[in-house]
Amino acid sequence: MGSCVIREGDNAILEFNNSFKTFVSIKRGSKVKIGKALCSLEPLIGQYYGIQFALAADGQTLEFKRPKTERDDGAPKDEWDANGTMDKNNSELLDRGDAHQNLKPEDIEAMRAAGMGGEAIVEALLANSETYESKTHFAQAKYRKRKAEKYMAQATLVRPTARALADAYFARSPQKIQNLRADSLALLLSLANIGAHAGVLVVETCSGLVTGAVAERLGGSGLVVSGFTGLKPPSLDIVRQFNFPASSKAGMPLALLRKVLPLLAPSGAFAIFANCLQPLAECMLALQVSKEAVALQLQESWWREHQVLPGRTHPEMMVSATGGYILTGYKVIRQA
Amino acid sequence: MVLHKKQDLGAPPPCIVDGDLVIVYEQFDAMKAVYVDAKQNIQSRFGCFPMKEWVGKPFGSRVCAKGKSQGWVHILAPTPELWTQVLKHRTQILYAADIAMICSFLELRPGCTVLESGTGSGSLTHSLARAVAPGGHVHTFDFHQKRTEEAASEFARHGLGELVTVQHRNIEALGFPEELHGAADALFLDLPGPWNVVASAAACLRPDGVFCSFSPCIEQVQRTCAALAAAGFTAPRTMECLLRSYEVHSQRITCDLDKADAAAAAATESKKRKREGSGGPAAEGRQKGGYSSAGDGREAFIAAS
Repeated sequence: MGSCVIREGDNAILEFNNSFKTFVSIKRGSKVKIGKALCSLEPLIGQYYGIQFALAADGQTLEFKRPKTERDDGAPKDEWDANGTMDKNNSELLDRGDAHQNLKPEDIEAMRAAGMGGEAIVEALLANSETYESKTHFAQAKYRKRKAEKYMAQATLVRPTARALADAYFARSPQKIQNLRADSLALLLSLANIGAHAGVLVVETCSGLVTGAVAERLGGSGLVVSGFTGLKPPSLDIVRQFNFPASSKAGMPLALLRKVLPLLAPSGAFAIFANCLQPLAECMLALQVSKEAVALQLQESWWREHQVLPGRTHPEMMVSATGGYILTGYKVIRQA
Repeated sequence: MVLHKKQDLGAPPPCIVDGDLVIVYEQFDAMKAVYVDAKQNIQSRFGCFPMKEWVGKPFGSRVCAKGKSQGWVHILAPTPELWTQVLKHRTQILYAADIAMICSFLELRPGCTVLESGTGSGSLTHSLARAVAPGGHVHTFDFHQKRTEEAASEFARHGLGELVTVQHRNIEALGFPEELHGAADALFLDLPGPWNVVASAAACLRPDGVFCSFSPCIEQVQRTCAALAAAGFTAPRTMECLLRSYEVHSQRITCDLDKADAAAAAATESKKRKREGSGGPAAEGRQKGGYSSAGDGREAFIAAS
């Protein structure tokens, strides 16, 4: 599929060090802040999404090079002896912060002015740290990674898929998407049976993320109708961040569960997301009493990521407590 | 037909046709897959259902058992999610939470080409097919001959014949066929040694293509991550996910204990008086908790996991 190539006019997500994310448009002439420099993303046109790049030593141009990571150094040393202890420890280490570092900010500034690249600065920082050598291999790797993130920020241009946009917004401004985490969005799409040729009614206050995600799954066959309550339609501005052809955008006003359930074809699947449990519990009870739907399920998605590195595999320390709740079911024909 | 059919807006909802796969919903946690055969009856705990009466009815209809049993069930149209809940297990299968995450993180869209190994019971395959239709394709492989045959006939019966190709092949030993090199937008592995397939996966995936592997053990994940890094894959993520289900109950909550005590005392007093009046045991039945009487306790819904 052609869309894996970066084209002029595309919207995209710019990631730094696989975490900080910002939204960009690829335009000739416009500049984006990378580190402390303003750079043109123009050289990215024609490259593939997912490309990794960094600022070159001149601090101005982009370099399509994957900065060195510890993986590139080959297999890590096995530092565990038979008793499972390491050959070094921090019993002698006093945390005096910057005092261990012989390079002062003005030295680093001078190195930059002399045209040294990020990689050279990182190497200099490691060489001028009094404690680096006494650290365990794992602690050294962590120290190198931290310095590399600062002095040789690695950027990636990411394709604005529903998955990537959900991740980016959840990290940046979760209130804009009602705390709809990427796993909950994935479930909404599956449980509501979204696929080509479906006619889908979306009523959302997630700034268009759900509408866009549904349109992405339909791929131009089928219909997305965006409904809302009240007098004014809510903003669907995230829809514009998907690189859709202009024709696949649709919108028309409609008014919620009791209002929209009659619009659903019998045997049709529905999925309702809320960032708190109580309203969905009330919906579920009402549907159980009215017998308008079967196979009702009120569920919460639980999601945990892991760091997987040789000898250092563990669950991530920072996880969000909840990604929201989803009520699903299938409409049935009520007996008269 | 498990996927949505192309139809005009405003067209009447599709009706059940002889030979269709339907999901018979009996009650919560009791569903089964049935291929409609108008010449047959189907026996369930709710009675005997002649299937000829189902033909022509819209999906979502309630159908009644014959005779005096007065039992009934609902007939639903199949979806990949419902199929996953009712299919005959030939292997362990993936469930809703994993399937949703896999389809989402593989960034599948209509028109994509996706590779899968092993096919197993075809649970995930149905969802992959939904995500890439129309115009896309699922190439799925399993090293078990009988399993591939059963899966292939199931896919054909479910209207997925044009979207899914099943092949008998040991992917771990042989890798994916060369004709798929450079052809895949996404790739999914559920194999005991996925790290053995990373090189072949790298050859098959297009630039910015997504690799996904499911493993029960963290040691398998570690070996696979190391192989991915060595093969030049970037931005790896390892995750677990599951679904927590909530039951919903309606319950009255007492907001004022003093008033509640007074009400309870009054109720005992009135009961005593009645008993004395009638001279017999209490005549009235128990009130249904929660719904019947008004008072200080407000109607509230309690949800518990």
